[in-house]
Amino acid sequence: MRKFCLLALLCPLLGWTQIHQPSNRILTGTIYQTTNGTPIYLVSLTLKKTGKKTRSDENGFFSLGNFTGSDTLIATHMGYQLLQITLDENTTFPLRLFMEPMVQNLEEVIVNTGYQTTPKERATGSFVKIDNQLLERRVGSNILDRLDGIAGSLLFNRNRNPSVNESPIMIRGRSTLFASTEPLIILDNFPYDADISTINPNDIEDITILRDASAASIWGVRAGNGVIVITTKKGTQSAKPVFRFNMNSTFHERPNLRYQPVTDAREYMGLETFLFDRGHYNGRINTPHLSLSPLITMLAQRRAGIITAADSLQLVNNLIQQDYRKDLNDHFYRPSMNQQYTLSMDGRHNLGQYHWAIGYDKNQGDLIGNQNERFTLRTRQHWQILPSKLESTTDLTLTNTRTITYNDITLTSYPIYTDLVDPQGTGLPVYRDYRSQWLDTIAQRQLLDWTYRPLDDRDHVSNRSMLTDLRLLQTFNYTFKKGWGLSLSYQWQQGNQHGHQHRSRQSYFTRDLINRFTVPNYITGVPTRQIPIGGIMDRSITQYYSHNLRLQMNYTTTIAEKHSITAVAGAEVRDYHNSNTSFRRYGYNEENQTDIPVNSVSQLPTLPIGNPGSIATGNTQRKLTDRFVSYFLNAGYVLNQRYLVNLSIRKDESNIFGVNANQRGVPLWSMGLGWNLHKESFIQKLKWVNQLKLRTTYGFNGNLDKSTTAFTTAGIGLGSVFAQPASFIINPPNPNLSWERIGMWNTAVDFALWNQRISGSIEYYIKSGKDLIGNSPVPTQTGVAQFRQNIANLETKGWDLNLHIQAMRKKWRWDIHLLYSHSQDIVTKYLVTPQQAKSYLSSMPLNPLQGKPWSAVFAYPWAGLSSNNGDPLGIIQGQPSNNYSALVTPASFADLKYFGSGRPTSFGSIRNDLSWGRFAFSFNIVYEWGFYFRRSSVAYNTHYSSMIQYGNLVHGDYMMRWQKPGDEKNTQVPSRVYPAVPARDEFYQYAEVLVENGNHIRLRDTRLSYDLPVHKWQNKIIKRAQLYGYINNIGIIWRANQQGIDPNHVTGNPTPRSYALGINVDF
Amino acid sequence: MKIKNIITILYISTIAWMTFACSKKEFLEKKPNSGIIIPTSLEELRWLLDNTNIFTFSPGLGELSADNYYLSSTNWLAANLLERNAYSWEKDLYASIRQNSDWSVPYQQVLYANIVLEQCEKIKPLQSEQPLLNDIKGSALFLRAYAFTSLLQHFAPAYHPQTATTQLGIPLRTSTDINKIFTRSSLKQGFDQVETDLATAVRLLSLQQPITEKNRPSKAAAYGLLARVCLYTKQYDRALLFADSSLQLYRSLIDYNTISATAVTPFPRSNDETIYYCQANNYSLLQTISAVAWADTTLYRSYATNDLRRNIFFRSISGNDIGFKRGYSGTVFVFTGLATDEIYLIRAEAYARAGNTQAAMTDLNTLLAKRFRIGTFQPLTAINANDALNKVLTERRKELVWRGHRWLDLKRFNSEGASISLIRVLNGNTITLPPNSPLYTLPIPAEEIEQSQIQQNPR
Repeated sequence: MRKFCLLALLCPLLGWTQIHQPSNRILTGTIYQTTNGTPIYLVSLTLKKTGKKTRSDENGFFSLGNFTGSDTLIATHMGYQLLQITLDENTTFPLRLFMEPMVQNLEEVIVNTGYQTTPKERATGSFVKIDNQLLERRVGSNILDRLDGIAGSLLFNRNRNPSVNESPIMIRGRSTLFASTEPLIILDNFPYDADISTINPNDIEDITILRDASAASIWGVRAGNGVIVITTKKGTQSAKPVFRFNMNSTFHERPNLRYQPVTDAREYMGLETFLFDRGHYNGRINTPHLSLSPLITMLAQRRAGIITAADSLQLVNNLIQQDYRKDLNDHFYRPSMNQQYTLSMDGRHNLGQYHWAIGYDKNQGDLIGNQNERFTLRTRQHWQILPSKLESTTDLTLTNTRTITYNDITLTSYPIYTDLVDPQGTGLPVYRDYRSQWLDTIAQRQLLDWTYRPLDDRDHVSNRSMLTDLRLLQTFNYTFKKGWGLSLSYQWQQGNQHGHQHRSRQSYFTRDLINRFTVPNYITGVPTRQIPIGGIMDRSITQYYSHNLRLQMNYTTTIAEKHSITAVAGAEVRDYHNSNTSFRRYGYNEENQTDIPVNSVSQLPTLPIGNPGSIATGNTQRKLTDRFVSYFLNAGYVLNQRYLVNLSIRKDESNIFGVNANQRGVPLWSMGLGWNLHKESFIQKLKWVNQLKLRTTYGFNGNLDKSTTAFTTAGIGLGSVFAQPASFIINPPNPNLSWERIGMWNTAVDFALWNQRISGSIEYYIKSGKDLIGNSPVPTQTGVAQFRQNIANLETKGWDLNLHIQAMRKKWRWDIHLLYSHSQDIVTKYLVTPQQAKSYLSSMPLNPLQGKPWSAVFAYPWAGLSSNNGDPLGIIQGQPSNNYSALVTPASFADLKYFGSGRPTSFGSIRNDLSWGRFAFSFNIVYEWGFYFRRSSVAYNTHYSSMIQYGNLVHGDYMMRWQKPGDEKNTQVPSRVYPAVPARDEFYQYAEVLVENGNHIRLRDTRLSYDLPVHKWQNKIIKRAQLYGYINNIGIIWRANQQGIDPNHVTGNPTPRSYALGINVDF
Repeated sequence: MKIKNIITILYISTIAWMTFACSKKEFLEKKPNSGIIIPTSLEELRWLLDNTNIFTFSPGLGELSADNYYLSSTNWLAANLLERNAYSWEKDLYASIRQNSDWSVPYQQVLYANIVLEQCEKIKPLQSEQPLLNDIKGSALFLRAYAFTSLLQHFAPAYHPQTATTQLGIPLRTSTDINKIFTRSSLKQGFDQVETDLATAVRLLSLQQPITEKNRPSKAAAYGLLARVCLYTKQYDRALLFADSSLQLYRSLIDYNTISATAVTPFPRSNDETIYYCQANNYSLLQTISAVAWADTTLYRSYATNDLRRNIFFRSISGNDIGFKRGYSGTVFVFTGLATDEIYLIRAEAYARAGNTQAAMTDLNTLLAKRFRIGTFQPLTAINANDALNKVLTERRKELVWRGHRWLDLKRFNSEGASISLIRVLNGNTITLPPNSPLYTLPIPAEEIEQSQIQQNPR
């Protein structure tokens, strides 16, 4: 073994030292590709007269020995046009030859399902393959982000509703209600157990997306939402090591903090005064310790006669100038910069191949101080232990990620006129928790400074986390005779994540907590502190490890040149453990790393009002285990290279909790048929058809909702105020549960026509989820709010179109890639109908309506504003009405207006790739169609109750509210009323006037690259160099809504535009 | 050669398969999350009952509707909708609100108790475990009875022995089966269930008297709750017996002279008088830090100058506005649990109603002696049983203020002909709640009515 290692290290060095000696009359040369100047490997070169033959090496170099007289050199290579060159005495060597690629050649696409690699021609399933070139088109540090806009039927879900477990990526729509909606992610044949952001995208060779039942039954119960198979780079066939260097920098604009409409200071103060005059704040003013906003403080003092009218006017004039978003923009946010570096080395030695790569990423956050760094080291060693019999592949990846975040600072929920930073750049206090006058009276000398200064706090809080992940993948393949093979794979992955959140003694969090647990002594003046003075350190340690072992038998044979059979069968075990410990240390001294114990058992009196409370220990400890035992069989049969039959069966058993043993597993299967029509003689007559294939699959996937169980389950730890251990019910007993099943039928045509000018595929699918677990509304008397049962069927039908047009393919190349996906889901069965039509308005999927999409958007019909008082009007029995209690509880669905799906039903992209010589330009236009969203507006009840505390932002629509008769012609925003009527707000919130069409088209990104003419430089070191620029999130070209809302960012702020510059060098 | 290869493969596979199959069952038995249990052991059942986020809560809308406090018109408008409606006894109490914790929280407690009771039936205890099993079963019965009682008192009309068999009570859920819907049984069946459960609990509970952890039911608590129930159902003779039994087991009273009148929190959560800890659901007007819920002025003036309760139960907000101070809960929430002072008052009332003036006044004076400044207390006397009853009831009002009793007492007294009308003045208008108004029975939240189709209370 040691010898092998030594050899592996030496091989690249040996290769490096070989130097080609040019000689004047020795025929040598190098052969390149015309389009991008890369050397071509294994070109056949023949001298017509002498018949001497050779092949070019990986650097495109060739030598044909001594040359005399004249001759014709013929260069041929698959995929390239024939090249003939006349040579005579005057020809100078070495030659520089260029070959033109043939575009009409069929490129063989290999798809990797994670269990086997199959030529796409022999597959019947639905796969999307994203190759390396396409992956590298985008710049970014997350591999999945690179798929955005380039992979068909993959929807990036930017408007996720956190309460309905939506995955950020969806393949062919949703197929479940409550089980996981995340696609399964496979990295090199095994599920990836760490966070996906730890993968360095530059280590990835290609990605295959498995969309239908055939693929999913390969992966079993976790594959109901589709599978994304990521394959890492394997190394090259080059005897000499090939070095590749990639570097890029991305510049992100500042986020637009003014994207969400907000009421300005003048109107906000007007609203505060309005509420003050009506006694809204009286209760709060009479509770001395509670905070009041600066304006309310002033108004209260004015009312009490403490200050004069002139003083108050002065204050108002100061406040009216303020907009704290400016302070946020100037002092808290920044334009940010990302940097990425990768260096790799590939090569081959006598016994196999090797690949080494290191990568470093540094990403700044848009908040000052936030930062993320990633270091990756990867090596892959491939060995022919017994040539053409036993081979071994070892893959080792080490990732280290460091993250710094300042999540402790509250940057929102202040009145708009709050001043966070003074003109000199000094942080100002915000009295959001306690009234400043009260702080002046309470035992000041016995307490720590109790003011909160958001800007200063950033320096006193440090939140760091470090993740180290190590993954080892070892595979042995043994090939027997007669097409039998055995492979054994084992993956071990281990990771540690350490989180340190240190809030120093100066931080507001620490001062506040210490003060709250202080008992002042007014006689001695010496307070009792139940929390010692010092920092507070929160530490968390997460450790995970997993073992995956797979034994698989392979069989491939061709009988009588006619029958071709491929089969794999095997078993797999998976064991994943994750343990998490966290704890808190008080009185922490960072320098000495010491702490002081506290009494966390007793209930202690706390300031400001003496509520009993206990000091949180922050101690948690938890262990998760995920285990699977699976058996699988996949078989394919091809007759005459034309007729394809595929079959796959799988059974998974898992350590699901709270069920009987026989409910732990579920068998899944799929079948596929295919017909390579272009191999039939009657199609081959049609010269314009290059490829034509029909294929179809049908099968069943499963989905797992591990949280729903048959027996009563309870969680431990939610405590008792009497310091006893306690537990809470997670699931009430539920013995009738069964597995969810997803049947999926996929049928498709693959085609390539007119010499590959037009190629692509059209797929049609029907996905039907059966026995889906849904919430059945139950009466409150049962003691549970909702109850899960197998009650729903969900059917999704859709099209996926993928079209590639080669519009120009000579010196100018122009490729158009069209992606279109349509997916329409309908809840076909829902056993329980809720009594109330209104439950469909808010909690989308919790109560799906039969016959409508799960995300259906309904709204109350709108009859405008009342001209008398600006009340929003609905419709009751055909008449405008302001009876809100009746309006918000309509009798039937007929009283609601249905819009459509809340998630895009059609989406895709149009990508244009243009190239001319060494320049390449590409831009991608993406679109999302066929969905609706609800925009936000004023909600007086919510605004009033948040304003009674320190204050909060008020929606900008408030400024456009109805104020006097006649306004109803120009505005749809209801008038201000006091007291607020929750039902009135609720009616407006869900009225049709706030529903917007989500259709939009956006220019996602553009890329320009230039291949430097390295072959002209007469150097041997640099073989290829490319400069590129990339702009991401360019902007919306067209949107249906008139409000200027980005339908992908209904809440929050849109992702800012970013600009990247980079260079790729091979040497 | 080829045959040999195949045999080798089969051999390896078989070995692998065997190894696999043998340990598979054990391998898949592993619990997926260390924080999750299937509660089966006695210890685990105890953890469920000790969850004070579920238990130790009872309805608060009754106290919100009662006359211990008042709101100014401005403060009424500033209050949130439900509390505003409860204050002015709106017919449509919940307006568009569809769920309410006064209904849902007790039923959550019932589910927990039922899960524990059903599991207790499945356990085959060892000899040594039998007392613990009994205690857990008794605790679950007590907690279920407590939830049923508070539901019956708030969501059903006042109890008349004559009409109780025909008037509607509440759904008496005695099963964990979620698919089973219970309809409203009669008011009598409701209280019968409570009494039966409590009688069993008394037998099973192992604690004689409360311990520091006041959420754990004891025999004294079970008797105490029986006394409270019998008082509400006007079975005064039985109330006397149960109150007496409870006091036999535990009768500690706090001398208010030892309590600081300036302390924000005069009583800790585990004070000596508390028998069973419980608090009202969280309503902001009920919180004792509220600066807008002002104590009824007549009530406040009825406390004598030397009555320590004047400064321990009440605080000055500003000017003449008097607010409430933290009571036996030790927190800002209203204490609604069982305490010895209530049991003394039940026994005193029952004695008086039985005509035993002497005993009634003895109990009353035992209690009041602990409430007055040392050396200032003059024992009260009564000329006859009726006088004794009036004095006991006056003191009941003063002692059990802000404890969730007043609304229920009004229901009881009015149904016995007391003719007490409540009055609210808002924006110059006077709203009156006549005695025995159907508004005394809280409506059941809309969601329950829609899902289970049980009958709504007429308002």
